[in-house]
Amino acid sequence: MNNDKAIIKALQSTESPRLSTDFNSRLMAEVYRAAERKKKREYVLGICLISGVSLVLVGIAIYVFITYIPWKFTFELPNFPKMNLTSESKSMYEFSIYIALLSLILIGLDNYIRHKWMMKKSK
Amino acid sequence: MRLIEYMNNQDEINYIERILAGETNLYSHFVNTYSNSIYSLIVRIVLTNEDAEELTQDSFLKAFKKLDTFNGDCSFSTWLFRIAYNTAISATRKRKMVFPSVDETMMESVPDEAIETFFDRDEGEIKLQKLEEAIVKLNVEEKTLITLFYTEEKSVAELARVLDLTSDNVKVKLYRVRKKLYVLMTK
Repeated sequence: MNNDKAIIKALQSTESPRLSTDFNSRLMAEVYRAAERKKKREYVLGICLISGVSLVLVGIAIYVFITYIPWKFTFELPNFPKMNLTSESKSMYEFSIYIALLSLILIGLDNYIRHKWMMKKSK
Repeated sequence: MRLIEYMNNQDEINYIERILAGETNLYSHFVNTYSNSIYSLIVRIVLTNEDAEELTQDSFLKAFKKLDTFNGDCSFSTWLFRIAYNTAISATRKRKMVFPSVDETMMESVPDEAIETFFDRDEGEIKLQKLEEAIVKLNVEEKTLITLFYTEEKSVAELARVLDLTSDNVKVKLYRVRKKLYVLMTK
């Protein structure tokens, strides 16, 4: 079957016209765009995942603190008012605000470290 | 697998690992190596140069996006031809291309020896011209089979992977394509 010279010759004689000269460069430009989109998608997905997990963990922490553990914390941060929190507190506002700030700081730190890491990787 | 093929396969796997690690520019190695072969196959299926060029681009982009699914159990070119074949098939389905059929009894009546001697020689411009016309009338799968078998020199096992068939099925189909070509040329 491999010796079907007539078929081989017919296929070669109807050889298709070549691709346009800039085809490979145009295709590579598309490939780079696709790679960028993929990176961006992975980055956004990572942020969403970390945010989700952080929120769940914070939620669990709050639930455990409120339901099972008697606690008394005093927070003293520069540029922040002193906070005295106990499980007997009537209001949970201060504690909630603290947790929210903590989450934001963690997400911000994660973003900053990721950005630094990606810069290093691209170099 | 022969040693050279194995080495090439290992080289390609190495390239793919580096591309997946972020060295996107290395993908140009595959583009430069296979773009003309992929284009030759697709243009034979869809028949217009512009569509073929667009589908060739689509095939390479699909391959790039699915690169992490390539597990090295066949050569990269076989994997790429499979993607190109499926892309071209989808395009022909959308355009509802129609291919002429050949009477089965007519094909059965052709003796095997006649085909062997008929295709073994390549003399005669008229014979070649008729053969070229007959090739155009083949359906997508048949065109893919003979293009990959005769011009890309793919083995039966590789053809089976590209077309998602068994090796025995590929052998039977190759045999029948030659008969069909003979009938299309002589009727």
